[in-house]
Amino acid sequence: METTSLMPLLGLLFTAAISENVALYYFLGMCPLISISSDLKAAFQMGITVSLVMLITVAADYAIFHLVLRPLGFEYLQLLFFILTIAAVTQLLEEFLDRFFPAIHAAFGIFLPLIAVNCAILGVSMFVVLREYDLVSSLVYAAGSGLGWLLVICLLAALRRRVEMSSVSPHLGKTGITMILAAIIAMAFSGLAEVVVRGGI
Amino acid sequence: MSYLLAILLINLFVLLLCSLLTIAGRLLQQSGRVLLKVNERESEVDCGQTLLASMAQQGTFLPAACGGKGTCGRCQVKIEMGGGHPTALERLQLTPAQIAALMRLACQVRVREDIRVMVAAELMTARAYRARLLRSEPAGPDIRLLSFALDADQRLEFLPGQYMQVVFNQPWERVLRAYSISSAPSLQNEFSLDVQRIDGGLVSTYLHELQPGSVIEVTGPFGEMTLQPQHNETTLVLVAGGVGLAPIRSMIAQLQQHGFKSPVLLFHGARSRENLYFESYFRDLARNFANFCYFPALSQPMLEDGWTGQKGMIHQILELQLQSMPISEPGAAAFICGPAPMMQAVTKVLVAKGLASDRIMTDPFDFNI
Repeated sequence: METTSLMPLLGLLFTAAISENVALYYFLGMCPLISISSDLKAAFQMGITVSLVMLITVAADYAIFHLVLRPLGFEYLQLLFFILTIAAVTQLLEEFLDRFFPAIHAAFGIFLPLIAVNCAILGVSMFVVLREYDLVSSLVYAAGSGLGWLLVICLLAALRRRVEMSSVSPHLGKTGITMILAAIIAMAFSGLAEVVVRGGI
Repeated sequence: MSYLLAILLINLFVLLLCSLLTIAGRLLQQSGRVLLKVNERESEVDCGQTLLASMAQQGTFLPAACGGKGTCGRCQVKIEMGGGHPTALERLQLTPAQIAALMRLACQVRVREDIRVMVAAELMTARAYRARLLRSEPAGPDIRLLSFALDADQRLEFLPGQYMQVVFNQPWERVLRAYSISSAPSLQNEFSLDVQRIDGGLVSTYLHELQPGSVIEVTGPFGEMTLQPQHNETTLVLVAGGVGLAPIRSMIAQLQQHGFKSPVLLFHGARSRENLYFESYFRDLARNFANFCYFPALSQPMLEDGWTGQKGMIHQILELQLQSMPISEPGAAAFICGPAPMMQAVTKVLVAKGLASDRIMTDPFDFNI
């Protein structure tokens, strides 16, 4: 009984993280993906921050949509409300970390304020509403998307270390080669999806 | 009706979020007092603010040309105890050797525990002053000479070449800008600043529009490019670019009081004649004192300037002049103040002419960070 209810959630987690990766499939959150992936440590910190904020904001946005906007018939205001919520949550999280976990706050540094304008976070909140997920599925989807984004930015950062040591056409530039790398990872991820579908998940 | 309700809902939501953030900010704000020890001075300060603010609260003012954003790197202090780990911004600003020597940027350090700080002894003399504007005179198209008076019981003791920081309080932030003192140190209750208005410059525009009688807040004096008593006895090469003349003016005023005991060569470069302020004053000075020589130069003189003097960049003029009058004296020193590229070019020329690089003192004044 339990396995049947868990399987779709596992599938959702995998889809969100790999086959429909928020960065590579939907092209969301690309700016930090390109700019911060030059350093593996910073990329990992940014990825963790995005995952954490994504999980919290999806829960908050889910509550706002289902408890306020839908009962009042103001679904069309979701974009505005979601943006405001994300900004407030990031601010709150920053103050909370600053007070109780100064070491983590110092490590996150400038990444937290940057996240307020990360479209991957807004995108996941919007998808959850659009696809009418329930609370558990929403959280699983958010966790999967966050992990997927973390995975992609870390992969890119690791690859870019190698790129720096190889000869890349100067016309391509750093951004160009990063986009090509992202495209190759995207193809690999979509191939993985096929394997998993055939495998029966 | 539905639209009105929507607007009401949005406003309510924004209000709710703002109050939530305010309450959370209050609740999460670190409170309490900690011990702050700067050199030998010890006092209790509020917890949770930056070290720069805590030290100001205690009465120790550090130079911070960027206003505490961590971009100018001037508020360096050595933290012997407390203060946590260097932030990412500090790792960019400080060299690994500086970080290993426990140097930190005071504007980036949060005071959360008892903290022990060491700062250079000369910084301990900096204070905060309230200065009242006495006169504001135009000296060029964008340059104004501002004379300030301190409160009757206050004395400003500085060395020629040092600068003050003007504090401009905006509702959301405290902006600081550095301006060199252009008056002689003998005027202890007064000082003057030469301010060039920068396009879009916040503080320079504010200072240009200041009316006599207005009171501003300044901190200082700061700066290591200073005229020492032994410089009265040696040959000095003073090179100024544009409004970089300000600290040089203070030095000349001091040297004049001693009657120019040894040769002083002043090179002043400007774009056009309007920007070459104090030209006639220095020409008179050169006529009256045999030891004082004045070499003005314009880089882009206009036809209407009627300029018959030297044309070109100031380092070229300097090179040309030094060919005919080499500086052979071992104690000779140079002071350069102006834009960074000009200072580099001038330093190169002076080193090539045999002046030791440790006797060339510079002060970059483009602080518009």
